[in-house]
Amino acid sequence: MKKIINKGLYAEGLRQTATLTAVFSAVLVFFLAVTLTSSNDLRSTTVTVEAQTLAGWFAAAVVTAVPAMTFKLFSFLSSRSKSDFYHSVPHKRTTVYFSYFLALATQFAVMLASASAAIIIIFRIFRSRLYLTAPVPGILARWAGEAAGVRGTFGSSYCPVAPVILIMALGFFAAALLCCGAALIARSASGTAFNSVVLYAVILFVPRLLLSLFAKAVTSTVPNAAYVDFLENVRLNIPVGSIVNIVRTPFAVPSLEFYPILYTAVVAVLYIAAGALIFCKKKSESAADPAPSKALRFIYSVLVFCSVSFFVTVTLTENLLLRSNNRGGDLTPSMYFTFYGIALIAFLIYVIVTTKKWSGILRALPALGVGILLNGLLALSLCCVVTSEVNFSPEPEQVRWISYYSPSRKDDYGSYFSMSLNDYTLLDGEKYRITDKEVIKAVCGGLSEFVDRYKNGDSLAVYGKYQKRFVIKTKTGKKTRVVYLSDKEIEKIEAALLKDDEFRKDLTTLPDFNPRTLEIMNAAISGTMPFNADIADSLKEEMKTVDPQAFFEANKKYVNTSTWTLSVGIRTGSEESGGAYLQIPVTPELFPKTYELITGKMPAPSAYAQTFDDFIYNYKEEYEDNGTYDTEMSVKCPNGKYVMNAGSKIKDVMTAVERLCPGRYAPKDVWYTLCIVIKDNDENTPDMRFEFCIETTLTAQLEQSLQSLGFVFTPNRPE
Amino acid sequence: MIEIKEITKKFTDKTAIDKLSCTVKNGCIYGLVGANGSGKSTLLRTVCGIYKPDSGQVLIDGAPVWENAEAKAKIAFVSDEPYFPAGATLTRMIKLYGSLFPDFDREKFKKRASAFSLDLKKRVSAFSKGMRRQAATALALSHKADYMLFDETFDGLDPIARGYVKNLISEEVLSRGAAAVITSHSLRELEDTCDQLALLHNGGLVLESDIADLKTTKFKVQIAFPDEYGESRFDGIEVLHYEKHGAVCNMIVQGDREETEKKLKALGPLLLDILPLSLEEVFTYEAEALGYTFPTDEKEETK
Repeated sequence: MKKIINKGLYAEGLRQTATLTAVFSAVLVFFLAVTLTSSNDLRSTTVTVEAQTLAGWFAAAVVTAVPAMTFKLFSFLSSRSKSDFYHSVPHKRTTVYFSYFLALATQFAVMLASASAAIIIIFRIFRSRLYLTAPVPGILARWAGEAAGVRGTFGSSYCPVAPVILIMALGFFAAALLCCGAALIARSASGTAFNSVVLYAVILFVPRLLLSLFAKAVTSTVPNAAYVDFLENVRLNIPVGSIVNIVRTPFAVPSLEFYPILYTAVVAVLYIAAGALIFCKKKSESAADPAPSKALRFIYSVLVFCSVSFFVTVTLTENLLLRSNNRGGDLTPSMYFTFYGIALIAFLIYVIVTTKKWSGILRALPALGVGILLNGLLALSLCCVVTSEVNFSPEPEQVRWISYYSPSRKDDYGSYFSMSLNDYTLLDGEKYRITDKEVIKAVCGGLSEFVDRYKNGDSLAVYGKYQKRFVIKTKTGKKTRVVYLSDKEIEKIEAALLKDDEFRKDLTTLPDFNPRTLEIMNAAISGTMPFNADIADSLKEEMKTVDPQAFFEANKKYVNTSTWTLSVGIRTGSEESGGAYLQIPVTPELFPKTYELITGKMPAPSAYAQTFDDFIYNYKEEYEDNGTYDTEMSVKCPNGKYVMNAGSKIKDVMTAVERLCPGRYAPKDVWYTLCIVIKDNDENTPDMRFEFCIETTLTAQLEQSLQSLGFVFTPNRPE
Repeated sequence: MIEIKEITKKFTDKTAIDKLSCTVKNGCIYGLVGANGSGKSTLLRTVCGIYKPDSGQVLIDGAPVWENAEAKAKIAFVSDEPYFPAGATLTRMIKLYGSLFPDFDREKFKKRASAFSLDLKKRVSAFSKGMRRQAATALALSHKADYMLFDETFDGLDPIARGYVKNLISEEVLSRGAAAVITSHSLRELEDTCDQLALLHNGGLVLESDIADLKTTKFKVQIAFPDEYGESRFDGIEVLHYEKHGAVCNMIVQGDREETEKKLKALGPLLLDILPLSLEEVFTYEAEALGYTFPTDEKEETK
């Protein structure tokens, strides 16, 4: 009796939502199947499907199916007889709420699982012709892929289907819970379906969009204020971000990312808890009333008006502020009139629908007045925040400490981003507090100069100075600012930083990484090596004794000059960075043993070829065309031959071999290092040997065919 | 025992129950009558924990009923508009009730459903209004509730089903010592079933009495005298209602029947007729005596 879940109510919840689940699942699977298989190219060649396209369907399904199912199951809140039944059962309200919520969550899981299974099956059926890509695959997808033993290039040309789709489903499950939470709040706080739908939309979209828009308005009007991901990144909220992705060019797939999933799940928990609270407090007699009280009805009217008008007000205020500082700003009066008009119409429609009387408009005028007042307050608060942020220019003596931040930051792409160990260490720059007076003076000077230029409407960038990010601590708090500094000033700061023992230690400590993902890069090659583990061990060993200052300088030089130095790339998924691809220059001075190890084993460098695909291109373009070599790159099978041309990709090679060597084959859990050795006839130049690691399930026929071409296979099973 | 202590329940612009107190003991069938809007349904919903009283308390065996799962498990409530989930059959309802009410007796329900000729596999939505009430009543009477609350349940039943339900309620009350509260517009329906009756008016209980007392202490008198007379002639007799047409006078009198008859005979009437009152008449006159009157159409309906 004291249980929070009742089996019977849970089962009843499942029964009541079964039809809707089946319908929505079928519709989702249908659209996904059509998306995946509708291309005519699928019959003849390969088709690439973006993960983002699939995510769009998931998002549309979640945003519509979840509230429909939630409203259906909790419809008893808008009918007296139903409400009487559910409130008279011998269980606490929390039991009714959570039993039904669990039933809904189960149905969401069923819907997403069936859609995921359909996608995976379709990809399996068309495995030789259908490829999945993502703008930049997410950290979670990569982790899942690696955990499943999948390795290789998770780049734009290839994604392992099952891990990516399952992570996407997980992301959308969190999104479904968030939508469910919003729907539960809406349903519990109102007594009619119309009001619930309006409230649901407001609760789901407005807080995140408004917060992001407000934060964006601040950062666009205060150009030296730093981007705060939590405030500004609309894609943290998966349902909102995914819908934004549908209407705007997608930069990321939030449902594949760790932070959006975490953020969405946390907000979902908060919403569900809020829904439970309102559900338990709701008076059962208010069933079928638009709002439980007159006061709430008034608040809902204000909310409807503000939900549209706030966005116009923030944009208008932002543009006015930009114009006042001669920094642009789009002021098209007709646009603002139109949008305020839309807000007013939305308000009037809401009032008429809920009161069912024309005279309701007159009675709702005070709500409109309050809405206008709130818009005024919002504009005022934005002006106050911007003014306060713009004028932040403390005197050196007011500053307690500063810390120097990495210029890299987690961006909208939310994926591995490439950086040096200098920047990686400075991601958590606040650890290294600089109290050197000279440095503080330089930063305060730079900040003051920036503020003056901003106020005078001058250009913000200064020739010979570079943007740097700092956290500046005064007695009133901390602020992150971008300041333009000269080389000499930056050197001062770096010198101060390098005096910090903790920084020196952190700089020369490699983060945890999987040696299998280590990549060697130089002008000729980019890829993993069979002897990765040896390189990782050697690098770790030499990092213990490397001189921090020399290493810091080497990192700067590597980044600044883009020299094709030999370097090692490692991937880390640390919490601070949200995953980073770290490039470590391996110079003979800093890491003599590692340098020797790599150069002793790696293939001879080529000036052009960096990937297999590039290699083929370059081979055809640069070598063959100038007549130096006379070779043909082809795949031979008993049934025919595929000749590679300048546009050929490894994918095309594989597809051609499958076509030439037909027959279904079972996937083998075996990794191969595929090496192409091409010899030229010039005895003075070494054999050009190119290694490229791909993942594949090779048939014996394919192996033989490729071997006959001179491809060398080296079994390289993951440990 | 159900104890209702000084409860008040207000809706936006109306006080539905106003400081109402009463007690329903185990083994009792308690009838609740009142005009539309008198607060009967609100009272039942408050008793079974659907509504939270604004003030006062409802205790079930000494424990507050609001958000008390154990107390609510002792209550069976049949609403005036019974609810069944969309597409539900009685087989599905058996499962639902079985999981909601720990003492739900599936066999007992099947027996009762069969007595009502209800098809267990047919969708409840296809049932007639009366059949839906029968189904709801059968479900409520099958989970061995100590307190059964019926909101105008008899109103939608045919006479045979009504008789059967009355029997079932009496059986439950007698065999298990349960208590039942039944609301109705029709006193006639309650007359032969209830032990106790209460009249609810404007959210207050204006009359509460045992039926036996009501029937034996109140009666109708028709009397005539050869001379001119007035109400004062009956001083010493408790007259609840007095009406005179010519020489004949009709009165509702309260008191011991034999003693009253003796007193009236001693007055030397030309005509004396003493008739028993129907419960409806008793209530109507009691209410009038207390200054309450039913609206005209309500009177028509009860007659």
